[in-house]
Amino acid sequence: MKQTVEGTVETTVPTQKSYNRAKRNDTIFVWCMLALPILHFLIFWLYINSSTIFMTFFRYNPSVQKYQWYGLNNFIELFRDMFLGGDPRTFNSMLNSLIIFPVNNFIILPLSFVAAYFLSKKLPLSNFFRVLFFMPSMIAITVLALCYRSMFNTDHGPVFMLCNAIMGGKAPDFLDVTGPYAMPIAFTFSVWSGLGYNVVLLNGAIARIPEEILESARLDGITTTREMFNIVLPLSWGTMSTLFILNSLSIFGWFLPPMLVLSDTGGVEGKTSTIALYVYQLVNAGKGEDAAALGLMFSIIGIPFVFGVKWLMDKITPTIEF
Amino acid sequence: MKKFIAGLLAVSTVLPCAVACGGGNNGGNDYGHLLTREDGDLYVRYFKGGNGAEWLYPIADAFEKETGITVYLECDDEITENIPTVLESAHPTSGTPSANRLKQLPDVCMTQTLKWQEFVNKGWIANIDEVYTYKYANEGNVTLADKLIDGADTFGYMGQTPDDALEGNKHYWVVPWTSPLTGLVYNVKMLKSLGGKWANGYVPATVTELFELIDDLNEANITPFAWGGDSNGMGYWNFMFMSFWASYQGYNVSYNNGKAKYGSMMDFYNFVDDDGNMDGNNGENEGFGSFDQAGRKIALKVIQDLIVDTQSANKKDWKWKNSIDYPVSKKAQEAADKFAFEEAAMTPTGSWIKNEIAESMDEGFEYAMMPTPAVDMAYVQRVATELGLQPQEIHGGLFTDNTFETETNTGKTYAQINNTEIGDLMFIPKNATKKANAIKFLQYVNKKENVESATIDMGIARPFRYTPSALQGHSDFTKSVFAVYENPNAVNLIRKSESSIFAYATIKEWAERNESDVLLQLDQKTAKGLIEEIYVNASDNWNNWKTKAGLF
Repeated sequence: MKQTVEGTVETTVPTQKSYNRAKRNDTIFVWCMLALPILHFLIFWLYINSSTIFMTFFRYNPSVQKYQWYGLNNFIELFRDMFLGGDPRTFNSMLNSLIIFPVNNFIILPLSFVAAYFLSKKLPLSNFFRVLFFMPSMIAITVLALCYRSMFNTDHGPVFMLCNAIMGGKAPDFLDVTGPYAMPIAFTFSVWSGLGYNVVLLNGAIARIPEEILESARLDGITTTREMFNIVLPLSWGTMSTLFILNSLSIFGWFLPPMLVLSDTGGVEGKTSTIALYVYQLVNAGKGEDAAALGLMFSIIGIPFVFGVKWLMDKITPTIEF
Repeated sequence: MKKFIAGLLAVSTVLPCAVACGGGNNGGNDYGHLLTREDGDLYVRYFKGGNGAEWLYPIADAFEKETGITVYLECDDEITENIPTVLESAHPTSGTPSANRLKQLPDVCMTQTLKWQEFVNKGWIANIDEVYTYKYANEGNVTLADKLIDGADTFGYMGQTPDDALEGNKHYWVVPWTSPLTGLVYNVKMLKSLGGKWANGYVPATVTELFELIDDLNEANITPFAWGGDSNGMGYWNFMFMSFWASYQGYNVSYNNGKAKYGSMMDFYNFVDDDGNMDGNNGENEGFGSFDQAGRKIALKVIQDLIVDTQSANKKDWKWKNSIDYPVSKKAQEAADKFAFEEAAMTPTGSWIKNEIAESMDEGFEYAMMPTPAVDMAYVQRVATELGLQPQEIHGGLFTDNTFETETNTGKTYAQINNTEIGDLMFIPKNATKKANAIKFLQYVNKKENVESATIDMGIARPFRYTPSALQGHSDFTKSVFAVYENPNAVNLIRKSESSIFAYATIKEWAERNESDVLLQLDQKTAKGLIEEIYVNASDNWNNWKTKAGLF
């Protein structure tokens, strides 16, 4: 519509031409918006993954200075190393990577939920504790690992000294990569550093629960425990479920805690190694084909597992809208 | 406020780098201009580590003044780990690298030891024949190849492919830039305080005497060793392993002219078979037989006896002994500090410890390096049954006359085995943008006066034909190092070989295993068992290595 000088209203009907122009502009706009993610997908997903998969069938031949067809031999050698005792390092790396699944989902996640619930109760100092929980997520992981490691230092670490006092001067060397405590120490670091992220997300989910529901439950005389497990948990289950799946995916990329807290070598026979750490070391050692084959083989094992987890979480997640 | 925060961020970013790598101020001279990159600068990325960087600043500064070529020095203590990725991304298999990639590629790299042969084969580093054949007019027209000691002169010489090597089409690719002596460094006062034979500064000449010294230290309630097993720190014991192995096995001579398993250390590096063929296929054990050399078992057993309590029949009860508390989780630097704090009498290390403990030791701290004790017949006889040695393997260490100690051949002087760990490298990436200037820089760094000034500043010898002890300004510790280093009767170990497996499959002492990993298992497995594991690993991978080396 346009206003004429005389104050009357004149209606203009859009022509086919202007309609086409608008449609074209819309299309250009949509494609401009999509171009970046598509480009990102093509380069950083499709190209990288396809060339990685491609690489697993080749091996560098120094005689001709080229990569040559190697068939499935990379996988056969890897299978021998991983499952037939060919190289304990590969097997131990896989084992440690898999253990992070229960650590993430059955230790960190429940702890995060409990912490988030109590922080939502607006207890005294709850804001202080919220910052405290999130602090490890704000500090650079290398600094955090250094602080954590120094707690167990056998010369001046407060945790070590406390244990030493309790155990009559016979505390073990927790950071000894050949000892039984090394990996638990790395997992504990994961718990400590991983709580904050989960707590923040769960706190958000809990904050969304309508106050009326909680108030009505309280009028019915619900206890704190029942409120937490029978009201809050089901109503924040969607976020729990998402976190469960995300935590399950971390088995593929978990390597910083053992690398920074324990040793970047992966320990004796890979006792403190993970698949991601081993892949990183293989790449650094110029064994890109082995790294690619290891990554792919572990994905073949891990992806059905993660899909299974997702399917299970979808099954048990109630459809609640509020 | 924004400016303040930006300034704060800049300071917090730059300060740690400056602290870690030195601020470029040396002896009152300001070398700050070398640490700021300008367009057109020759980009040198170097490892500082225990060598220090003080030696490099004045040389680079003088190079700038003499040639007009400006230099940018970048300290990177992670260069050894990072350089393969840097080189790979700057040398794509197809196409040309981007300008940005090339800008990030150093013109000169100075790293610790690494598998550089692979870089040659993949075409990532440039042939530097011009550096080796350049004639130094002021030094009687000698070339770098002439100036380097035996072994070091051909250290960086190889064919780009196995076929090139067979056809003799070889070139120079890297320059070894240090020749650090490794071994046992000891606290002079502590040892003298024991009295007896040690009172006048005598140090153990044989392994048996070393055990005597340890008994005396324990009696005096002095911890014998400071060492750290964390992050490859256990590899410092590998220096001792090398010397013990060569002492028993011989470096390039063998007992009874044996070969392969019964051959010398060089037979190992050449992977000779029972007939003496390099990378050989003949004989019971093919070329991997030398992984089972008795000298390797004995060397590992010496180390185990030094630091592991194996009294219990149950291996689970074995524990570290004669060492600082909780050594496995200590880093090498922490162990060096503990040695400097006089918490232990000895530490396995190299001549670079001088720079590592410069700030932690007290003024009156006296320390020195001892020649690595020789493996003597008495020790071999004591462990022969446990190691399952054959009768022809029961002999003592190498004498200076190239014979070995036996029950009848006794009373001679043991050969001193110096493990010099030549392996810190200088090289030029193939796609370096200022290759010609980089070549000039390498030629300049290796001028006589620069070799000498570097020796004084680092306190570490360079692998040249000279007498480092004749230079002025060395500390007492450095003098002790050079006294061992310059012993004319010493055998200097250099890990080099003509073998294709060594060059192209880059296989060394521990087959596919990491040396630290193997040594860290000494409190859980026998020395014999560990060496046999490595032997099995070698036999399992033998064909794979031959394939990698282009021998199939």
